[in-house]
This record gives sequence, structure tokens and C-alpha cells, in this order.
Amino acid sequence: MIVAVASGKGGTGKTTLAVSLALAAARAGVEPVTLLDLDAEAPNAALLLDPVLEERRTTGIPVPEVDAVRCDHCGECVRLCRAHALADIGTSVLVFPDLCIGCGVCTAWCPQRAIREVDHVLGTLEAGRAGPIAFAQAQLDPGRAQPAPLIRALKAWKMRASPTGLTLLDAPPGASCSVMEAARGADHVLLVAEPSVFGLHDLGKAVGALRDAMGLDVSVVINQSVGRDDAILRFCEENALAVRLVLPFEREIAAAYAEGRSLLEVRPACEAPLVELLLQLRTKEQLA
Amino acid sequence: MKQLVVLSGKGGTGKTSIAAALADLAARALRVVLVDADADAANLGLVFDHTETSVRPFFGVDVAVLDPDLCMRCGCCSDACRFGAVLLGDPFSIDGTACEGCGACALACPTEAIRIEPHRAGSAICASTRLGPLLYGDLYPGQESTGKLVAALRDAGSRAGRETAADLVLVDGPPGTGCPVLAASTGVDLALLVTEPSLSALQDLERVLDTLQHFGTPAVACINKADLHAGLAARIRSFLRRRDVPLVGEISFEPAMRDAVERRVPATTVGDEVLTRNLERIWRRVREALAVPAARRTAEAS
Repeated sequence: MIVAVASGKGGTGKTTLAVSLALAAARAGVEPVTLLDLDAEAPNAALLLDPVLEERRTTGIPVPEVDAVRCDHCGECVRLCRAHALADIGTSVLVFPDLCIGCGVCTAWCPQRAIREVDHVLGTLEAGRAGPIAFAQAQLDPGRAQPAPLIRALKAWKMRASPTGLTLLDAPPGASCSVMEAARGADHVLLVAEPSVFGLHDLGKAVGALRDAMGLDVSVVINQSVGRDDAILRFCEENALAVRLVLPFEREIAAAYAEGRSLLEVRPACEAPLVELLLQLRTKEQLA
Repeated sequence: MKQLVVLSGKGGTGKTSIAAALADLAARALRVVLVDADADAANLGLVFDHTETSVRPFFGVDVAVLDPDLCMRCGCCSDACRFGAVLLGDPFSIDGTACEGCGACALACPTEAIRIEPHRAGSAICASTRLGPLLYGDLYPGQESTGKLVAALRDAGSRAGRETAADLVLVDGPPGTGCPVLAASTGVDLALLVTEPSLSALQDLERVLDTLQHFGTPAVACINKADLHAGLAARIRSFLRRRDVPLVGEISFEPAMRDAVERRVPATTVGDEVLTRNLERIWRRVREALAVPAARRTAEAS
């Protein structure tokens, strides 16, 4: 079972929930348990899990390199590139790797076969273990624009569908490209929402992208509740969103998170409801 | 006219709350333009009552459109697509949420069954608030062009700034370090980094700072929820010193910040004196770092 943990607004507790679910599942005997941190712009799950990272590779996108001898400046590559990543200045063809999306059109359609592809590094993938949990993360290099290729590469490398096991995808915040890339292929998406005016607005955006546009199975976990959840509960009811769990805001939990301690460490009583949540998702899957 | 972007790396540290408070303080003596560059989670408009003055269609990346009547299901398009956007069902179709509009499929199709078309992805909206113009975006669900939308909003913000002879364009940025953050911070005069005392906020602060320094953008920082963890607050202060990032102020963990969000008003207007003083201090030091005068000369301000 593959479960993505996402949110519209940032800082609602995605990583806290994803790590806690992984730990609870492993303790309940689920095997294998895998957690992929796909928030390549701000990967923080390792701070809570403290994994031993054994494998590391850089990854990027294939960008064109033009052979100045073969190139006859016909301009076809520049004309075909919809990302505007190429410019012919007469004496040479310039490549702007940060605009290139790595689609391969210029290389495939160069009449002189003067273009080959070289790797433009966008960031790093790392993998290892935290006890029983297999862990991997993607990190975008500073100054690079595109996290989506790293997300795709990490999933291709380490995501395995296992009928008995659990794979958790810790997604970036938001409602567009990188979130959709992270959640693609998940059996279920848990949207972590805080019951504030901002949280509610952004939850709506995330539901629009992941459920309405992508057709994924989406349900909600309310986090940082201070007992004023009427508006968000009403929103979930009106939009046919199951609320799977409500977690409280407590300063002690926030302070523990601050120093990299997991929710289960400070609130061991949360383990049972988390296992119950996973059982609900699994039951739903078997019924489907 | 100076441009300020508010960033954090980590989400949920209080970017929008602090941006709204600074906007409120700035607008008391200066002309401001607000740009909500967190287009995935545009919340600035929730704080300031506004009236839309213009709604422009926003076109994102182009998208492939497949005509099933011309398609002979050879699969050449799917072989050419590197983004897994061709769905090999019956009939074949394009997954718009995966398509990057590169045109590889259309070039590969032997029957010209695929066209690449411009695609409306949402709207860029200009609104008026009691502070000044507010620019924000509204992306349709499932669109991919956040960075491009942020760039369009920044352009519109600069234009509005010139038209209104504004002193300050205040940009509320997105979390992270990728494409929308780069679009939000290109060409700004200063970035204000809003952080909080946690290991993850510190790690993400370092990443966003590396990103800004990559492009030579100067930054100052403030610590929100500073009393949440004394040890980590101290680590953040020493990190900022080491990286020569001026600390322009701190705010303790205040229920008033949360109340301001619930009441949809800036935190400077909820009557918490200590909080207001701390926000005023941050604004004063940001203003000094930007070299913006405290107030317009009276002749201009009238």
C-alpha cells in the first residue's frame, strides 16, 4: 500500500505524520515499511528518523550539448525548443540548462545529429535505513529550479508497491507540479490540515489538485487542533472528505519536534490511532 | 521603489502573518504594493479585504491535445514522451497533469493527431485593498505553472508600483527553494527570512540562504515563536551571525498571532502591545536595510 502525505499549507505536520505512521507500522509488524522524503526543497524527515544513509547519487536531467563542428546552424533545435533553452548566436548554439526540461526534442530532431545529451545535476538522492524502516530522500541543489525530476528519480529508484508492506511518500507543500509528482501513483493521500483560516483555504486547493484533477483517493488528518475545528469539519463533510484523525496542538509536541524527536516519543498513546488509521486505509483498499 | 520578499524555506513559520503585519506598518506612512507569490497557497488576500480591479487570464505551459479520430494507436507518442503523459487506454489520451508541453509527441506522431496548444491555467488578479494594490494568482486545480504565474504576478506588481509611485513592493513568498521561490526573489532588493527555533527550520533556512547567496540577494532574518525552544533559538542566532545575516527581531510564541489569522486582520491590529512593538522593530530594521525613508514627504503623501 502506497500512502502519500501531503498538505496545501506548509508546516501543518506532514513530516510528523509520515514519520509517525512509519514508526507505528513497523512496530505493528508491517513489513517492509519504506518512507520516501519527496520534499526535495526542504527535506526534514531524516531529522526525526535519524537514518544511516548508505547510498548516494546525484541526479539531474539530460540537457543538450551541441557539437560545434557538426552544427550547421540550421536553427531547427531553437525553433523546436518550447522551453526557450537554446539560442543560436551565429558562431555557436547556447544552452541554458536551467530553462531546459530535458524533453529530448532538440537531440532527436537535429537534422545534422549534432546534439548529444549530458547530465545537468539538479540535486542528490540518498537512501539507507532507520532500524526497520527503509528510507530515502531527495535534495534539490541551491539555485536549481526543478524539484520534479528529482522526485520522479527517487520514486523510480526506491518506490516499490508491496501488497503487505507500506510505502509512505512525504510530499512537499502546495497544490501544483511537485506535489502532484510526489503523490502520483499513491493508493491513498492523507492531507494534513491545520484548522486555521489559512489551513482551510489551502486544504481546498490541495483537494482540487489531488482529488478533483488527479482522481486520487484523498482523506484528511487535522493537526494542531486547539478545539475549534467546526469550520474544517464542516468543509470536510460538505466535500465528502473523510477525517481520519484529529491531533492536538500542544506546546510540548511542538518543542519535541523542534529538537527532532518524533510524536510517538512524546505521545506514545498516539500509536494505536495511527495503526487504526492504516487499517482503515487497507480495509478501504480491500473493499475497492 | 524597493522590493522586499518574505521567505522561510520551511512552511508554516509565519511568512504570511509577518508579511501582513509589515505591510500594515509600512502602509501607515508609505505607498505599498502587495504581491502574493505563494500561488499554491495564496493567503494574503484572506487578511486584507479587497476588491478585484482586473482579472487577466494566465496561460501556463502549453499542453498536448490528442484527436482520437486521427490516432491510429501506434504508440510513437508514448515512446517519445519522457514524462509519462500519454495514457495508452482506448482511446489514447494525454494526462494534462503530467504533460510538460514539450511537443515530442506531436513531432513523433505519423498521423498528426496531436497538437500543442496554449492552455489557460488560471488567472492573475489585481485587487485594491485599504493599503494599496494586491496582486495574487488563482491557478486552476492540477496546474503545473506556479513559477511562471509568480513571474507574471511579480511583473504586474512592479507595473502597479510604477503606476502608483509606490515606495515598496512587498512580496509574500512561497516555501521551499525551487522554481516559485526563484521567481519570487529575482531582482528583489532584500529578502526577509522568517524562521523558527526547530532543527528543520534551521536546515531549511540554510538551504534558502544558500539559494539567495547563489544569486547574490541580500537577506535579513527574524525568529518567530522564538521562545518555543531556547537552545535552538540560540543555535539559529549563532548560525545567522556566522553567515553574516542581520537578525532584525524576534517574536515570542503568541496566541495573538493565531487570533489575528482567525480574525483575518494583521497581527499589528489585535491590541497586543508587546507583539506590536516587536513587529514595529522588525519593520524599522527592514526599512533601514532597504534604505526606504520612514515616511513620504508630506507634499508627496497627500
